[in-house]
Amino acid sequence: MTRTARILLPLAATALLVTAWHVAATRVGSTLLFPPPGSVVLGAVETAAGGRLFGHIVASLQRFAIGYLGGIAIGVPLGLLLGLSVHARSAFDPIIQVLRPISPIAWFPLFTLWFGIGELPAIAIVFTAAVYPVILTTTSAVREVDPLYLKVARTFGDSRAGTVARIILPASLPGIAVGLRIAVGTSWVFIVAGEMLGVTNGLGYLIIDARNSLRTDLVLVAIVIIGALGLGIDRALRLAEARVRRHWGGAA
Amino acid sequence: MSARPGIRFDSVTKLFGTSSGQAHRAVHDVTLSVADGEFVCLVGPSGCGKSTLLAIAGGFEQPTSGRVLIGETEITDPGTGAVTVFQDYGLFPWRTVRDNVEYGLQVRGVPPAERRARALAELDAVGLGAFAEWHPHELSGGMRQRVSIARALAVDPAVLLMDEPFGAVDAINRARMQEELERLWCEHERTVLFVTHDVDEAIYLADRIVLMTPGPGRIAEQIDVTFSRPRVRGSGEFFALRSRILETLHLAGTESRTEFEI
Ligand SMILES: Nc1ncnc2c1ncn2[C@@H]1O[C@H](COP(=O)(O)OP(=O)(O)O)[C@@H](O)[C@H]1O
Ligand SMILES: [Mg+2]
Repeated sequence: MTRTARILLPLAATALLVTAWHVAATRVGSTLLFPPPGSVVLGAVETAAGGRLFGHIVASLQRFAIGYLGGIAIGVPLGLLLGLSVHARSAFDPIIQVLRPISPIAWFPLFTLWFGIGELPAIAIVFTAAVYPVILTTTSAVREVDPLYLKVARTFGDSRAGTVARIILPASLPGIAVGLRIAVGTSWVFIVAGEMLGVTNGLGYLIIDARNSLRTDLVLVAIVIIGALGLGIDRALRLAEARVRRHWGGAA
Repeated sequence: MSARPGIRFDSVTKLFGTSSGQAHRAVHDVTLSVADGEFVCLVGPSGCGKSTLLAIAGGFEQPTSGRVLIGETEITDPGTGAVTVFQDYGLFPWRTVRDNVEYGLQVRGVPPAERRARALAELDAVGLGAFAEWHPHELSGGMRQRVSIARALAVDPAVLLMDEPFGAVDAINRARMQEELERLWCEHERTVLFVTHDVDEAIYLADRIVLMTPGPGRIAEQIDVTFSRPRVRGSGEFFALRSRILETLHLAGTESRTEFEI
């Protein structure tokens, strides 16, 4: 595919979608039921002008960052432990396998009871969505470390702790980086749900607030921004992951 | 150079369990001494137990009976005397060439400045001083194996164990690698136990060739290689020794000559 095609094709597809949206919305003829693209842009300009939109974005990103980084802070060490120790793995793997398929939303009632109404339940939901993929990918990255590296560590008489720090951790970093990127996708999805109750800002709150005041155009503003931010975060992590991969080089 | 102990195999036998439940005798009653500074090659067809013997010397496998000693110390674990150089190099791709060579020194707690100096000196010795800050994946197979040899030599091991270290290197570079290894060895007279199934490689490098035969793996004959170094591959004595070795292996073993790379 040529460079021009790579730029033009998505632009053309987007233009087509927006046109179809506009035509459909005009047919429906109700800005409330199905706001056309034009009114969504106006709505975005209106909330952006008051500085409120930016505040919502910052609030969501902050909660997301805390929950996601918390998931890494807990998930990576736990994944390391499970990857390194057969005993830890046989003890905790069944528990993780049972907890993992539970939607973070299911915990919401308990989170609000435990943490009160407010910031923490939203953060806890993001954390819950992030932590499992981080644990699982870290565990398998550790288990997939080339056994030859471990033989080298042994022939040079490296200690257990030294082998973990000098060999296992750096050798599993590319695998962990993949996990961090997967987790960013799964957990970003849940920031909206987390903000639909008990907070007074953030993109999830914006959606609920807009619905209550019958501003469906603003609902769509929030939706588009959530998508765009999700894409941006994913791209940033892909770049970081590619850097790790490049720096780590091929197998040698 | 201080007198060092060499390595001694004392009636080493190794059985492996098999899926049929019957024990498989990989090595049978091997007694072998490698003196300090001696270069010994284990030669024989595949399956005769060369790798098993080396793994026992490296502490990776335990003998079923008998023992391996460096001086008075019995080898029960890796990292206690001998350092193994592996066929597939085992370089760490996230470390630069110099950091790779520093690894063993780091394990031994050598301070960074000294570590760096020693790593650079070893890299110079294998002709890779200019590649110190490169990463392993940027190097050819032969260069990678030189890095891995430099990494082993940096810790000045009592015994250097090499299991077909040039097996993954192409034929032309292999000859060069052999020449470099011999030059390195001549400079320092390290104790080397080297596994190969390439008879020419063994004749080029060894002070003594230990011929092994399979079923069960044992020593068939030991031959001192007395002609002077560096050896000339096309010379009459080289050729005569090769014929003799092939004949011995052919008579002793059930394997055909085609098992050998000539
Ligand atoms: N871990 C193992 N388990 C079972 N059998 C093994 C194992 N390692 C080696 N053997 C067997 O022991 C014999 C000697 O193997 P090896 O030492 O690798 O020979 P070589 O290096 O001379 O080719 C072979 O018959 C091989 O199948
Ligand atoms: Mg072998």
